[in-house]
Formats: sequence, structure tokens, C-alpha cells
Amino acid sequence: MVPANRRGFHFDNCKRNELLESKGSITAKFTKTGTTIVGLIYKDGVILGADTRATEGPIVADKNCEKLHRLTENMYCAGAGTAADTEYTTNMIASKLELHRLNTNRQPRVVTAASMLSQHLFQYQGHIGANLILGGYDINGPQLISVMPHGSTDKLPYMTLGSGMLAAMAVFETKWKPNMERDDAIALVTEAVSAGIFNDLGSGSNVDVVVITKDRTDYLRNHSKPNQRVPKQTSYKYPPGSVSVIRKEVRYHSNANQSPAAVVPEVVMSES
Amino acid sequence: MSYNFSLTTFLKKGELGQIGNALAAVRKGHTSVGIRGKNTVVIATKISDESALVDNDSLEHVAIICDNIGMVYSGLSPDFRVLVAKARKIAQEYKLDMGEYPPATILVKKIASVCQEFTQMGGVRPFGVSILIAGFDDGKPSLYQVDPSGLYFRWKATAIGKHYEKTKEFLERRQDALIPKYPSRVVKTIIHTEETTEADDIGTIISALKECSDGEVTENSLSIGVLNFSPPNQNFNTSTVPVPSFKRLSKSEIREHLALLA
Amino acid sequence: MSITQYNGSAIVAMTGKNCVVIGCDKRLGQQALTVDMNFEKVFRVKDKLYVGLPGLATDVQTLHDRIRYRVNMYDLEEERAIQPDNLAHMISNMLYQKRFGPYFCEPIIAGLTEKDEPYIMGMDLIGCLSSAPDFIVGGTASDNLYGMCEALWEPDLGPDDLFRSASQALLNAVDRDAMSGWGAVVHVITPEKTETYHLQGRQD
Repeated sequence: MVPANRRGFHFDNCKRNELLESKGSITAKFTKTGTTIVGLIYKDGVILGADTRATEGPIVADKNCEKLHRLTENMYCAGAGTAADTEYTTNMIASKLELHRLNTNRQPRVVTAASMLSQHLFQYQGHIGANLILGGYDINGPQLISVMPHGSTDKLPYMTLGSGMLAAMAVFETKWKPNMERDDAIALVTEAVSAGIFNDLGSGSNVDVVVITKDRTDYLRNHSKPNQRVPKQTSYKYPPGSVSVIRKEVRYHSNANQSPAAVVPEVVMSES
Repeated sequence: MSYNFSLTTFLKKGELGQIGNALAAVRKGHTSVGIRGKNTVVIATKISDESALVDNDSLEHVAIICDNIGMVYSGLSPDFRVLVAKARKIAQEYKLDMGEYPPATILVKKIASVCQEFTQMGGVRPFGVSILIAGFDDGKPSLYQVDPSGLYFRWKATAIGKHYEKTKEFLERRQDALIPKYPSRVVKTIIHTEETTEADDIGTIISALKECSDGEVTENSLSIGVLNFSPPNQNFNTSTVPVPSFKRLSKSEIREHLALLA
Repeated sequence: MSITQYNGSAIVAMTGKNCVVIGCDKRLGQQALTVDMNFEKVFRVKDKLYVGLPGLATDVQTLHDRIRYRVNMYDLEEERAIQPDNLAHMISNMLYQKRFGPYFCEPIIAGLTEKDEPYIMGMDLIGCLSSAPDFIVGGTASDNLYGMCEALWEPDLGPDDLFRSASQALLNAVDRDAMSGWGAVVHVITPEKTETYHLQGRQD
């Protein structure tokens, strides 16, 4: 077996999984972000926005996940695609950037992060399914760079990605203009993400926003919550005795002020 | 010839010669001091200012390892740089693995085992540094010392490097001097460092270095690091609760502390 | 059919007021053939920390072994009890290391933190963590469980109410899933003790 502490990817299950697949089993689904992620440059900096739905096929796997990943104080990255890939890729780059920051004693630059990301994704030839919008502010001012799974990058003043990108882009193409004011820009980002939330099935729930300026970063988690669940009209509590119990065991926790950890079996046919 | 060049061979008297020699290198290095307070740890070093032409700003004497751990050294600065790079990598790897930075004790154990490896592996020499590590364990501050042999201790306050004995005596005296402030307590059980504030500890450290090390103590010849719970960064609001943070004092901050002592 | 459905499983974790519940069905099958009626899929990690492993049974057991190994090593090295979020990261890493040849298992973690706050976390088979304030479900009955839990869960349930809500969600969900069932085991974790209930269920 591969030692547990070895870094990097392990491939020791691949042969077995190939065999299982050849016998007719389909490999299981990964959690996808579905996603509408957007980014734009405005007068004083850069803004990223994202919805908060994660999907597993047609199922909503997470109603309020986080798709805006912190890379450094001055850089965030919005992720779409395979959820685990966006999470792990951005975490790894965040870690490398922190080392870079400590070792050079300088604030990391956006282009550094972009090339780290694109080199990593290119190395894996598109098998790491991360579609990223990188936004940050460094000595070269506000920057917005997209990185695709195969490692290509793009530098634009506004961009959208994910399954809801068309809906969001429709909003940007209509309303984006250079040098917007902060409040207008936040509102536009929210509107673009909302377009994805309401018109794309892969996107849903709330809008997360991050505003990055020269010396300040504001992470506005759940900036807009257009899909709040209405409180239940009735409580669906079951009455005592409604569960048929065959056997009950009690284990007292060792740190509690109880007798030392012991399993005390109790036989009960019906819950009291 | 009685002199032993082999690192991995024991001397007749049961010692590893090179480790003793590494410790000698540490004792030649500039003095470093650390004090553990109630919610803080202060570590500092006196930088030698042998020549007015040297730009001390180019050197990193107190190193930030990660958000909540810092370290300082006495001995050979190139060796320290290597250890700092290793420590930072260990901290980052731990964070990727467990979702948080390591507690001080874990980092210390890993650094110490790196040091130990370099006393047993072929073709290498031990690190010529002793280091002081400031960090948190279970939300409580701790101060560690790691020696070239891989030996490590936990201290309430300590000093390493040149004049370390004298400096440690100074710290012990300081402890006695502060005891009468708390007459109701049992004298022997009081450790002054647990009753003092961060500013007191910085003051004690500066006084110790002033009294016990060579040369003049100025903001240019001091490097001080402080570990404490700091309020969330207002400009980059990523957390809402106070988080452990290790910071290096700026020159103007050191100047303020020097002024308080003058 | 997906390989995650080969053996059949159903796991649910729910949060309450200062308590959490995690439960699973007891069936082990080979597709439609039932092999074992007492195959538990929720394992105790620490006093107040449990992990549920729905998915392919061979990977359930392998992962359980590896988790136990890592947690025991953590205990010895760090001399402190592992916290739920650290365990979640640890398992997530184990899964993501096998990103290109995964284990067919989607672990669910349930426990109480140091401050006795309820903690639940789910992840997909390559370690993408997903947290929820209410409940996490997994296994072949997960679609049914989603529906049951959305209806039954409400905030601040005490241990007894929470036990009944989670148990009913689980039992009713597996009744409409051919691949899971044959009774259930439910652990109710409170700061003082963990109560384990073995529940009566349909045997078909």
C-alpha cells in the first residue's frame, strides 16, 4: 500500500475501479458546483460574486455552500466545476502563496496566483475540473483573470463562468460599464448572479460577494438571500413511543461527571 | 588525535562531539530571549551591530512561521534560514491536512525531529542554532527551545546564545523582584511571567538584553516578535473573533518601548 | 447501476439543541440479494464523534480501518482528542488523494465539538466537504431521506424529539428503497452520554 503520508495523488484504486466499470457499473457522481460565478472590475477594485448551490446530478447537495475561496488577503478565487477540485486547487495555491508571502516578505501578486493555477491545471491536462475566476488587487491595480480546466487563462474587465454564465453575461453585457461606483458595481454583480440563480437550474439559493480594493477586502457572505425558506406552518414532531426500539445501549462519556465509560445495555421493546 | 570529526560516532565518554561543537556555535551567537505571559509570548534578539555599514533590515532575525507561531534563534543565521523554510512548510502541510495551523507542541516536535535527523544522517552536520519558538497549545501560550541535538524544552522564560547564563540570571532576578507585589500568595509558586502584561514582558526583555548583551541597545539592534490574541483585521475582515497572531514589532514600536524604559 | 448502489445503504445525521443524531440501516446486499441483516455503517471514532460510511461495503471497511489508524496516530502524536472539523478535513484529504481512483463512499461525520456544539459534515466520494445547519444524508436511500428530513427536521429539537424525527425519517425512507433497510441503528449523542437504539424495521 502507498504510505498514508505520501503527498500527491494516489492511483492504487484505479485498476480495481476500471474492472468494476468494465463489469457494467457506472462510476459514481461527483458533487458539482453547477454555479453562476461572476467577476468585474470597477472604479476602485474588483468584485467577485457567486451563488451558493451545490448539486449532485439533479439533487441539491448543499443549499448554502461557499464558492468564493480566499487565496490571500488581497486575492479571492471564485470556483465552478467539480466542487472538490475547486476547493483543493484553491487551498493548495493559497498555501503556496502564503509560503511565498512569508519567504519573500511581499504581498503576492495576482499574476503569480494565476500562473500557479494555470500551471497546476495544465499539468493535469483538464482532468482537474476547476473553472476559476481569480480576482485581486496588488501593486499593478485591480485584476480579473479566468483560468480554465486545461490551464488557459483570460484577462477581461468582466466575466462569468459556470452553468449560469449565459444568464449572468446577459446582465453584464447590458449593464456593465467602465469605472462604476462601488454600490452600483455590487448591485450589478448581485443582479448577474441572481439571473443565474433564477434561470439556471444548476445555480440557486443565495448570493455571496467579495469586494477587493487597494487596502481593504470585504467578504459579504450571503449578501442577498432571495430564497429564504418560509417557516413551517406545523410541527411534524412524532409523539413519544412512536419508534419501535428493539434494544438500547448507553455509553457514558469519560469526561462527563458520570461513572467511567461503560456500555450499559438496556432492553426495551418500546421507547418510553 | 583526540579531536573527533565524525558526527555519527560517539566519543569514548559517550558524547557526540559535533553536537557539543554546534552548541559552542550557539553560545557564540547573539543573545535571544523569550518570556511567556498570561496570554502572550514575547521573543526577541539583540542583533550585533559590529559595523555601522551593515543594513540590518535585510536580515530576518525573528521569523513568522504561520499566523500563530514565530521563532528566533542564536547561532548561525544561514542554518536558521533553512530551519525557518522547513518550519513554514511543515505548518502549511499540517494546515492542508487538518484544516488548521499546528499547535506549537506539534510544530516543535517536527522541527526537533528534523534537528535530530541531522545528527544521525550520513554526510550532514547538525544545525548550528538553538531556537526559541512562540506558539499556542490549547489556547494557552507556550515558549519552546529546540537545540541542535533535537532536544526541546518548554520554558516560562529563557535565554540562549552569548551571555545566556547571565541573561537567565537576570530573568530569575526579575522574577524575585516582582514577587513582593503579590504578598498574599505563596512566594515560591508565583511565576512573574503569568501575572505581567505584554508591555511588561517586552520591557523585561529589553532590559535583559540591555544589561546582559554587548553593545548598545537601539531600535536598530533589536528584533522583537509578539504572539497574542489580536482582534480581527478590520481591513481584511475574514474572522469575527480574536485570533492568535504573531507579529514583529516595527522600529517605531520598539522605539516607544525603549522610551518607556529610559 | 452505480457501484455506490451495489451493497445498499442509508445514513442520516441531524443536529438538535446540544445534541446530534446519526443513524444507519443494517442491510448488506449484493445488488438485489440480501447477504447480511446486521451490517452497521456508522462507527464510533471518539466518545462524542461518529462517522457514517455509506457506499461500497469493501471501501466502507477499508476507509473505517484507515480512519481508525489515522485517529489513533493523532491521539498518540497530539495527545488530545481529535475535533470533528479536524476529522472531516482528515477524511476529506484521504478521499481527495484518490481523486483519480476513488473509494466509492461518501462519509458523514456527526459529533459534538469541544464546546458541545452539534457538528455534522458530509462529503462526496472525492472529499468535497459540505456542511449544513440541519441534516446530512447519504446512501442509496438519500433521495428519500432528503424528502423525509426536509419535512421532519426543525430547529432546536431536544435529544428525544431529535431521536424520533431522525428515526422516523430513516425508517420511512428505507421502506421505499429496495437496497437498504432491515432495521436501523441510531446513535443519540449528548454531552454526557451516547444512547444507541436498535430499531425495528421491515425485513423485506
